[in-house]
Amino acid sequence: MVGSGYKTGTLLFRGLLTVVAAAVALLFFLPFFWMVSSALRPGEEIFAFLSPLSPYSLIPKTLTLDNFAQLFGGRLGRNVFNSVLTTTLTVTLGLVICSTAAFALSVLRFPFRSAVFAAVVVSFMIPFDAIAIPLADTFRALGLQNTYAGLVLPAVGDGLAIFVLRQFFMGIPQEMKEAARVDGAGWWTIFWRIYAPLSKPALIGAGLLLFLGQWQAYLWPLLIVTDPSMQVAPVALAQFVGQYEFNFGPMFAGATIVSVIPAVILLSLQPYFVRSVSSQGLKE
Amino acid sequence: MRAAGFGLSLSAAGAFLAGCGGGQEGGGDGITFIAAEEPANFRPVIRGFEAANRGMTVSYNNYPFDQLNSVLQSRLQSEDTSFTCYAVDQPRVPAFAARGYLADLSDRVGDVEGQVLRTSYEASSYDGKLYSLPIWTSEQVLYYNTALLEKAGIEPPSTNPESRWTWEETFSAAKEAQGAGAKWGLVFSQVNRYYQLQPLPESLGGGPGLRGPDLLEPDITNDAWVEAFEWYRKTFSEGLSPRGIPPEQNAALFAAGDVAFYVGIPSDPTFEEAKKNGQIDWGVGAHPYFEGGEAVTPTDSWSWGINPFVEDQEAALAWLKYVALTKKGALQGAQLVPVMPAHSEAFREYLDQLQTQSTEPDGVADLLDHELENTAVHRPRSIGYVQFEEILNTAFDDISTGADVAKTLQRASGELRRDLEPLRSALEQQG
Amino acid sequence: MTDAKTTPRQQRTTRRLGSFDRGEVLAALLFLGPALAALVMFRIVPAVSALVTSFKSSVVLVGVSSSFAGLDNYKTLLTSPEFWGSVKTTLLFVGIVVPVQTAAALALAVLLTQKIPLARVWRLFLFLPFSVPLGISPLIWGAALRPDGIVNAVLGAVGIGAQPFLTSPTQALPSIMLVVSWIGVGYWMVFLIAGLQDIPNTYLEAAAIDGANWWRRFFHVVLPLMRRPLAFVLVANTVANFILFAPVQALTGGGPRQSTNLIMFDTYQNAFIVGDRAAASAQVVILLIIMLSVVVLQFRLLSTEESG
Repeated sequence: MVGSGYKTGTLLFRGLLTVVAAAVALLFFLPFFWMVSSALRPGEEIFAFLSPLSPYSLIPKTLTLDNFAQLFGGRLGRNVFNSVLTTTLTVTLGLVICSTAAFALSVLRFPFRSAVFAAVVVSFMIPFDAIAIPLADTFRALGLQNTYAGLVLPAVGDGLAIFVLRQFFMGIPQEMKEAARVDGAGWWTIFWRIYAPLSKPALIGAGLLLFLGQWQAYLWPLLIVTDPSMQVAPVALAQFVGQYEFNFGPMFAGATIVSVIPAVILLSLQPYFVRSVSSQGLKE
Repeated sequence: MRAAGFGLSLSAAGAFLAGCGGGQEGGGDGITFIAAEEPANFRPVIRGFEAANRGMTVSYNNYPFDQLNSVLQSRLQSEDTSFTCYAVDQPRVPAFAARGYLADLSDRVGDVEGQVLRTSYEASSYDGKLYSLPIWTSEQVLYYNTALLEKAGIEPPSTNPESRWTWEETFSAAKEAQGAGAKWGLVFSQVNRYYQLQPLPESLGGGPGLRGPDLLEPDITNDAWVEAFEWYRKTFSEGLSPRGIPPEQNAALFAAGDVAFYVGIPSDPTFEEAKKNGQIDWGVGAHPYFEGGEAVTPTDSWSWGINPFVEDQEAALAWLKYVALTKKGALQGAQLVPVMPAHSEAFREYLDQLQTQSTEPDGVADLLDHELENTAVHRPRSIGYVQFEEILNTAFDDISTGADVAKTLQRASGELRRDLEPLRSALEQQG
Repeated sequence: MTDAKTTPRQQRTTRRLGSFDRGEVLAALLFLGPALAALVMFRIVPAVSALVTSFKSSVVLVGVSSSFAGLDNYKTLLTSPEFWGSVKTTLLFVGIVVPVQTAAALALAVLLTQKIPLARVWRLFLFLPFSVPLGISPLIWGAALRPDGIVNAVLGAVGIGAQPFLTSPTQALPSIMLVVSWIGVGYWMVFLIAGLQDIPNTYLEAAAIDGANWWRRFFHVVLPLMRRPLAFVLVANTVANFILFAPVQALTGGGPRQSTNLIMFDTYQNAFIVGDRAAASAQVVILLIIMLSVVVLQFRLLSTEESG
């Protein structure tokens, strides 16, 4: 860690840092906390305590699990399942596809390599919302509407993930590759046995990109899914608010559940961000 | 070897994925229907229909209002056949019909005109043809908080349309109520939306905002418009109305007892609840008008139409006819939603029920009847309605936050003129 | 790439394709194949389709089919005051949000990689905003920034008057920046933390032994080694903010007085609400050109720094 290598000296300094960190973190946490406490309130009370400032602004005056109970009877479980499934598929397929591509772009030599890389970079700058309609038309024509394939496919080729992985691969010393070639290893072996294991942090980073991209997807599922049982959670959440009655309770309850999953995943991935191999000399 | 096996498993996964999933195709005896209501609200009418039509099933999917129009717009433009019928916002019927998004129902449903309210029939048609079946209609009334008015010593408005208040009277009464302690004086439920505010300039004779043979020319800078919206602007600048609260959150304000006067739909369920719980006591008066002007009220709601790209439309037609043209279906459709059915007989019954409801003050039913017959105005039946509404709503937002009325309307008029130009020339081409 | 020691196996694979090794090129094809296919099918092809659409006429009515309209849509856009307004607003928005967010993310990354208790918890709190579904965050902030909302209540309690926030033409865009930063800072911070943790302790220890204080260690050891992650965050953040529109749609609708009318928001309106796909496609093309120019500029600046 950056901080551990040198003496920050006094306990006071460390204490100060802790206070600042805690304060900032808590500030960031407040809106989330408000959302969760709104989920635990009856619908009418959600906007009732905004002002003047009182403890009830943040803490529910009437605690109720009704909003969560309402969710159980509904489709949200199925929607969350869909989200989890599509995200898992996206990450698995995406990591394979993106890391192999990144390998080719950083390690292998072939004609037009820089042009291809440029195309990769440009592709992730194309705003997805701009191409969503023509893409949806194509998918519909191919019969991919309301299928998991339809939900997953556009997300697996992620230019940003390829970029990240390629950066990392370029940092792995050439000698390793050359030594393996001398030993007669095939390219796949080099990729699978040498580069991939060394790249855990980048793979996790790319995996995170893919995961979050798919988890937060809104417009695409809206366009490509017409069957409510195939819909993903974020889109389904919006459907909790009807036209004449505005009960945000179940929506916030659903949002709480949907938010927890990425948070838990990040929490469990935190230890893996530390490199597993000695970093000496691996940075050029 | 390895790579090949890997490739094989990829394609296997792909095949699995492609096969998996829901998949809905429109047509046949399965009806796929899209609208904006929560699924629970349509359960009675769907059950009723399926019971009366053995073998037919309705699969319903909902989207919030804003998204609904975008989704429909986008799917229909792509000639998507995954849904058979859908709810179309009545002012959008001309726009959708002109773009070929609605199947012509003119000779396929028998006598509709005799069975539904006149305004609703008009709202479901375009260019002389019937493009949708009317399901619901709407009106607006003036709610008042009994306690807040009492505190200020104000005599409440009545439901008698002959003695309705003027907007000027409402303004001063609202101010008085605030003087006596009300947090807010006057709140419009659909704040800054054209639906809610159309009556203001119309009451002064300023017209709906569009003119010309095809209603594609903006007309929002005339004196009546400016005057009407100067009044509207004052309700915010003088503190009668809160700024920056989204329409969905306004009802909560009135239900909490913070608002003296509130313009909203009759029989709002949030308010009914609040009254029954003893949270607030309220009454209803007739929708106001401008001094020296006409009494004007907003109306129109939803019609249901058929996706013209679907081949087999018979089942969808049966579903539409059940809800629009049978009293039973109409009542079931309006059962759980705070709207008024467009089916004439069902509407009668709705009014009768309203009379007997303890929470409603006397005379409301008669008032609604009167308004629909005499003061209701449609939103302009223009194929450019969507652009029109978008631009105007933005202008209203700006006016409510204090922008200069004349300048804002001028700018909006310019933008509107530019946006409607392609439609004007397209119509010319059409000949 | 001839090697002194060539084994029979290697001799087999030294068949050339120009100056390239044929086996290697083939391998590259196989490795790149799926990704390229995905990028082409799911990004490039629809982008070309959108480009083609931008040259079509705006209106499709029954009986009036879509025809070739050349540069008409572009002409209309480039002569529209609203469009230029949106360009200015977008550039202003990106120009402020990206540096601010990146700097904040870096500061927080450094702060939260110190050895302080509960660092993991603080990092989680910072990441939580990004895990809230994107349709919900604006709702939360909308309630907080209401004229009668919590933020004003707090301001009132400390003596500062109530602010109009989203209802003011001058405060609306900064409010959107606030919402977007709340969501994004934690996300970018995660990438920067990964970059920071890459830095070997030995470098910092060596610098400390040499007598460098915290500040100098940061600028002379940490920052140079963070060039790659920072570059990545800068570019990705820029792209993300150029194509942003969801909070605008949920909170301000482009107003008040067009002060939050971002290009992508206007495009979305055109494509989905008005249904004018041709105009929307033209807008996207122009947006892409602007964005590409900015990103290329960023690359240029960052690489000159590298050599400097």
